[in-house]
Amino acid sequence: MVFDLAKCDGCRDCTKACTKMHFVPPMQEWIKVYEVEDNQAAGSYFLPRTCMHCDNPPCVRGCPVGATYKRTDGIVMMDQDRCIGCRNCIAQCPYSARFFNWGEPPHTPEEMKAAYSVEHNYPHRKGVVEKCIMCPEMLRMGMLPACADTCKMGAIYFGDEFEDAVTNGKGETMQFSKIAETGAGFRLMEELGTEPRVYYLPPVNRKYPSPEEKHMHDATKA
Amino acid sequence: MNERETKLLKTIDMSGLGFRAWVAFLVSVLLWGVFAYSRQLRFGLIETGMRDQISWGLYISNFVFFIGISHAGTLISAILRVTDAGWRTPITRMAEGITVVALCIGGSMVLVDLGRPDRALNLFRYGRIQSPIVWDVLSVGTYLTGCILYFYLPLIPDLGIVAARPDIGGFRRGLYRALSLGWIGSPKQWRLLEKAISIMAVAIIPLAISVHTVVSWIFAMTLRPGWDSSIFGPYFVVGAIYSGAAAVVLAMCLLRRIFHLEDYLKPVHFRNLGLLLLSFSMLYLYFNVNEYLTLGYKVRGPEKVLLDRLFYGDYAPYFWVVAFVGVLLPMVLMMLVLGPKRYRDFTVPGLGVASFMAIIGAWAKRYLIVVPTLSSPFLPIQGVPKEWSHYAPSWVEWSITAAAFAAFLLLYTLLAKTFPVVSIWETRETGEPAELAPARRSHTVRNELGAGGPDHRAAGLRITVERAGCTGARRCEGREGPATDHHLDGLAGAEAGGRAARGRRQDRSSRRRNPALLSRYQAAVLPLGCGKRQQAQGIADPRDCRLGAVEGCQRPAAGLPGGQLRTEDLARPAGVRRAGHRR
Repeated sequence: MVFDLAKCDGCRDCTKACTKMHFVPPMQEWIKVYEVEDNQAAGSYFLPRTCMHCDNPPCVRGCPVGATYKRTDGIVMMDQDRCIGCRNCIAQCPYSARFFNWGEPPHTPEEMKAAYSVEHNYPHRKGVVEKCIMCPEMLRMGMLPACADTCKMGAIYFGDEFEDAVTNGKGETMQFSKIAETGAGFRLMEELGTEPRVYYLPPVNRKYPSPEEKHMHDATKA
Repeated sequence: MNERETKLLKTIDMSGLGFRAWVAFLVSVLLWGVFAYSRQLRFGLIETGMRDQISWGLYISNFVFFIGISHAGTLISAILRVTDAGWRTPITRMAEGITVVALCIGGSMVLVDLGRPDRALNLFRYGRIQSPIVWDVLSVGTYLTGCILYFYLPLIPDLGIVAARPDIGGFRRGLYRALSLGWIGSPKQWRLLEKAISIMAVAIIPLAISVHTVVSWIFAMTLRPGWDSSIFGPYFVVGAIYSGAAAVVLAMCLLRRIFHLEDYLKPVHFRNLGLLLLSFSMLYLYFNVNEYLTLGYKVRGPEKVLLDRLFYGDYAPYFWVVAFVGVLLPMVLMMLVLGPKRYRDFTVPGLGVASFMAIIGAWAKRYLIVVPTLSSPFLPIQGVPKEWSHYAPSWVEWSITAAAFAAFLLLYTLLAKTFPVVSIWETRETGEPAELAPARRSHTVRNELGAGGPDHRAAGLRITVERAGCTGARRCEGREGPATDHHLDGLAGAEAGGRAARGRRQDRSSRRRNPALLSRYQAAVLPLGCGKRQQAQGIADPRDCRLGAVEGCQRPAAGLPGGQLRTEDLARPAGVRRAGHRR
């Protein structure tokens, strides 16, 4: 997965689409858009954060029962049938990408219609850990994950690194190695050695108002 | 049963109003906690103050705290046992009791923290050895098993004593008899027991150190600022021993007052343990300085956020109160009551107060290790309401915490009610008779040997004496003086039997030429011959035989046939060892 930060305008449509598709319980944002500022001099930018699907995942290392595991296609998966709710993975994850069902999650009839499957992780249960699982049931159908599919700005690209092709919601397909190389792609907290599978292209030549401008605009509108 | 034993066994008969009220109070707190937990089971951990950002809280702090307290006992009593510190004997039982109980409570705190306790068995069905949680299950489980054994083994002779009490009811007599595993105090049993205790004492030390190291690894194996530290293992172990030693001192203060154990828990015990506690408080201070200075000097990004909050941010009041109340004040107080002669009178209450402060500080410190780190993640906490980004324990958590402490005190009270809080056989004075079972042939000898018991070599020696026809007279032992002919003869004969029985272990002839050992040997061997002469002189009770009381005992020996005798048997004769006990 590649996030082109130059294109992200912080609209949070991705979060809404994800929540809708997975019936994500309230207070959880499997894809969360942060507003970050690297230092005082630098301006702020939006930073969407999914699960990083690390190649060296601390959560998988720490799970005592193998409830979270790495699939051969690279997805870090979550088995709600096995999770004991010790929350060690939450402590382990440096990206705050894991959530816990503290109480019984509110259910919708639509959610309850489906039988539980590890590929969509709902109906949700009390006392287990939840996370972004990169929509395996969409991938099975050859479709983009909900967030990438929804992004109007085309900021979210998804693809298989071995095919070297990533596609965004606008249908634009790029050569992964090329955009990562020319765009100086980076990964979050590289220094922790988690080997994330999510790349970011830096927010250069923004195609949208910066967060400050957006806040000002919102304020004047109000 | 003599007066001393009756007094030590008094705790078993606790049934007064005060005792009942105390138990009722503890049980009601516990029941309130059970009610709180039932709510948590029904509605989930939403009943707690924990949320996604701060996903561990009071329960995990309690877990670390109780596992720390558990180092009290076993480690201290095992180290003292291994180093053969004679003054430990009145303390070990109560210290080991703390360990067993604290481990049970600590372990259950993890279960309380689980989101799905119904699936706890998955830890065994699907356990993965890569996970620090599984390390914890294994090490705490092993440690608990070891501690129960280590608590139980030295208890067996006392159980035998209790079972032999005439005034004990049928059910309890049966219970004690069953638990004492047929203990009659025979030399073979003593030998086995002493060997088992020695093995456990040695084995339990690495176990205790590993268990708290592994607890620290739950934190240190993460990438989080403040936890990602290579000294967390020893830092936790030292903190654990510090809090554990404080728990022992506090328990000693309380039990001494409640059960009037002033004869056993003397100022010297407090002084010795106080010095241990003081040195561990210094060691702990050193680790604290080391931990925070190495982080604070460099002020790296995520750690800077955490340290700012701890040193002068929202956690600063707690942090500094814990630093002063938990470490610095107790340290100064202990220096005062242990140092200048002027304040020696305050040693016991002073240490009690210091250890109480240390325990409170230890608990709060665990909280400060768990919570601030979780609330200072790498990515900023954004867009969540305050109650999701700030941890405040809910009433359910406080109730369960209170119940955990109540359960700790309740179990400890019940232990004190069931078993003698001071080990009877280990604190036995030299020469004090031990009466266990109804009379059997030469049982006096056996029990006398048994009373001297811990040293199976000495016991072995006496057996050989017994075989050679001597009835022992322990009263005489430990006196310096010349040997009589006759018992040397007896020993020489006995020695032949012992040699046949014991095989190759005895051939350490280098010891025979050791003059120091020979003099010790003389001291120990001396009294053993008296029996025959007593018999000859018609003295009925061998215990009445004292050096000087029987004429023949004072006749100087012609010479010491060292070559015929196994000094090895006497390397640690009971008399010499006991001198340490009286210290």
